[in-house]
Amino acid sequence: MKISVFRIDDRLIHGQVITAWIAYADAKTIIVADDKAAGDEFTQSLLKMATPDSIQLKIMRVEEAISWIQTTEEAGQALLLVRSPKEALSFIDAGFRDHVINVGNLNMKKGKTKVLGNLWVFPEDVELIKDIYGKGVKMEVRAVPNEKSQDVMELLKKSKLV
Amino acid sequence: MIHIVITSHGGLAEGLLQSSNMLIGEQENVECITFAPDMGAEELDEIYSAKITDISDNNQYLILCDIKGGTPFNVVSRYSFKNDNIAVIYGVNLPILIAALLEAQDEGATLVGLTESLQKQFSESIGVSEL
Repeated sequence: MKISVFRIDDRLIHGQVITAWIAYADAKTIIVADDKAAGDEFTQSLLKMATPDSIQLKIMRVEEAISWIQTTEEAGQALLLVRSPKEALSFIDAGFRDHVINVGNLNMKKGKTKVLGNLWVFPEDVELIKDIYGKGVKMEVRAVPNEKSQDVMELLKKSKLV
Repeated sequence: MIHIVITSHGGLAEGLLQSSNMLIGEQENVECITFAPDMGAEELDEIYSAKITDISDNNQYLILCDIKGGTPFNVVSRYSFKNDNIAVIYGVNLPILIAALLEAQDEGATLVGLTESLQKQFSESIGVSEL
């Protein structure tokens, strides 16, 4: 199965994903790789409710998702969603290095620094992002497909976070 | 009493209420909650929890959301989980809002009755003009 869009979004499946990214990714499957969601039935029900009927939804723990994608014989393209840079790094370490990782929403939380309205980072996120770039993978902030892409490292530099 | 809460991505909720006011006049017991571009889900949730209060059999809420699966719908749906005094409907439009506002004020109106009535009336709420 080919991952056509690899996105970090702390809201996982929501309006921007269902109205724009599924079509842009030409995906028939959404893979939510998230330990928390995989262990929480209530979150799973919400994610199922949010997914259009025509789309297959897979909710798996990160490690499980990695091995499923690597071994599945299912054809077609998928949209891969993770919650934060931490999960993204696990995929990169497992060899997923062909994407510019799309960043949709990393929203405000206590202890985070604002980079953009939809990009707030913890100090540990900055370290993870540096690590991701160190492994040769780039990241872009783009909430919806037709928005201008902005390089995450450039944004961090401008905000004097690196 | 049944409170109506309209919640949307951007200004749709406010706009719908403004349009409704033109048609049926200003109503009580209605409130708009806007999910603004730079807002996170947690911030939105804080607004919901401040506005959706004193929930009981005599103080019920009907939440009208714009789209199924959008953040307003996803976040507010948690409130209706195992709570019969809160109902969440997606796909709000002007006819649904007006019907909800008027029917909520009917004597003896109940949340269950209201949501059933709206679903029955509006499950086919779009159509092509036959002219």
